[in-house]
Amino acid sequence: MFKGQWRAVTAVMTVFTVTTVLAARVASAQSATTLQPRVDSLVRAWQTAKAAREAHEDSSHFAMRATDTVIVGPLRVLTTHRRAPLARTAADSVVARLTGYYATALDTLRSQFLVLRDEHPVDVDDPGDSSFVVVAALSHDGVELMRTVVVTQPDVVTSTLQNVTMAALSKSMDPAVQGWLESRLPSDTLSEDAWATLRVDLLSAGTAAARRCYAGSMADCRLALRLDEARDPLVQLFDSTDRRRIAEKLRGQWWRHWNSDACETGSDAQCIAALGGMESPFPVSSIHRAALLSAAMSVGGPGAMQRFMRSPGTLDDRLRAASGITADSLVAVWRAKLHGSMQASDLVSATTTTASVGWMLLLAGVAVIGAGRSRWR
Amino acid sequence: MFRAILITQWKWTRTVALLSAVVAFSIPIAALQSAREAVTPQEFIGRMQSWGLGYALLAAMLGLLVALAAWGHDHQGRHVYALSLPVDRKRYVLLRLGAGAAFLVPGVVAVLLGSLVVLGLGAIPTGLHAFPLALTARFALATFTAYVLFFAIGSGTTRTAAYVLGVVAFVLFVQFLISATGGEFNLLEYVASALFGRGGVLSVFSGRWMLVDV
Repeated sequence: MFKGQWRAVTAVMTVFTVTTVLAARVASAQSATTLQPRVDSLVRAWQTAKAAREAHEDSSHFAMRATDTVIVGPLRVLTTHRRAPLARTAADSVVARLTGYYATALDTLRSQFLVLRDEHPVDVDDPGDSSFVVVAALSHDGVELMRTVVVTQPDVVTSTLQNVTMAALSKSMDPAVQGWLESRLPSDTLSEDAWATLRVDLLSAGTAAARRCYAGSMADCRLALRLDEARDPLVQLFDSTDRRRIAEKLRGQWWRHWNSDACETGSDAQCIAALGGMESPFPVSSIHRAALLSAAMSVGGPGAMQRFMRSPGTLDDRLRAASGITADSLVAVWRAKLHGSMQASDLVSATTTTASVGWMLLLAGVAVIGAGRSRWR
Repeated sequence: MFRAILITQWKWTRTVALLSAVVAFSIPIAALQSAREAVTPQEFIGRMQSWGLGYALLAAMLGLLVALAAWGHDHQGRHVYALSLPVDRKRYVLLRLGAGAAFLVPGVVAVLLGSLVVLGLGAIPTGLHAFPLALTARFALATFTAYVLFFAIGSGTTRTAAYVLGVVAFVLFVQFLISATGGEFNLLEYVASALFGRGGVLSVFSGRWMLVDV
């Protein structure tokens, strides 16, 4: 066995030695003077390519490097010299808008850096286009979070910076409150149109609790707004019609492999039992919880959100601190705003009416004068 | 004189006026019928909205057909009837305009009645609002605008109509040339914007036509 292996190794070594000797003889057949120009041309091509790559990387990295810091109140925005005026204008507006309701709660942002920098397109053929900027929050390890690319219009940048600021502020809240809100903190009170949209959204949530809330049930409003957690969501949040609709929806989701027979042919109790194991998101959107905070802002006035964020205790306590009234009274205000809002109909606007009447008079005049002059034949 | 023109014009227009009234009355009810099966208010609004185009089309068609009917017989008779009347041309045109406008009223009233029936049926989901008067007012504005526009075109000679058609054809031809030569300029978009945009002659037709909204 050992002897056989030794012979095989010897044979391989012999073949390798012979091959190496032959290759060296072929290589030595080409003179160094022939090879030198080829090597030189290759080096030049490599150096040119390297220089081009380094120039491109330098230009990209220069744009990405924050070379200036704009500080406006509690906001710290890392930006470039070129974008500093834009960053300052946007930050000024954001701070001015938020200070009224958030007051010193904005101080939590002092440890948070925001970023506003040029966004260079990936397309290297057009590196000069810098009409876009990135707005983001910067994590402690330098990663851009909530990154949004927008055009460089001041109002758009301001709005985006405000959104990023609100998202960062929301993350600084007590985790329990974050878990309840599940969305960004509101930046201001809501318009009549927004309330009207919320009304339809609430009534379209497909849950009896939302409908009963709109009809006036405070207990259901507290359930719909998650101020009270439902012990048995299927029963407390939905009625039998809702449950059958849920069953119909689940039947369409074939990947769940859910048998809908219990809901289609059985009693409501059987349907509840069948749906019991299914997990589904909370039916009422988180925008209504944010709207409740907006209502607290309108009732509580200046500093409302500062009090909400800084107050200890339960959600009810925080809402009371923010609005100055009990949580139930605040919910009643929220519901009244939903009821009282009506979106202005855009069917007949003053502009359209004026334009139409004006055109009609003009065209009638053209018809009358034109017919008087025409030869009618 | 107006009564005589009204009666003669009624004979030419009555079919259009009555049919359009029936359709105008039906649109709100048909929209409600399709929306009744909606599960949520949002879906209800969506289904009602899908019928919105019907109001705009009906307004345009009613205006066009009544305007054509107003001038059709005059053009066929080479305006001999008009020239034989003891009134000057301007007054004659005004009489024709007024008589035609009167025949738009049944359609407008029918939209109002249909909208009120929808309201009366009580099938609008909780939380939504109906706008029967605003919808009717807009339908009236759109109908009268379309009518006066086509009346003005129809009141001219055949040459006038040819000029109008020529302008339309020219715009389409220029757009074709731009596209054929690889240009990206969209002339039609500018023309449509001028006509249907804010302050345009047909601006009343653009936007949403919602009998039921938030």
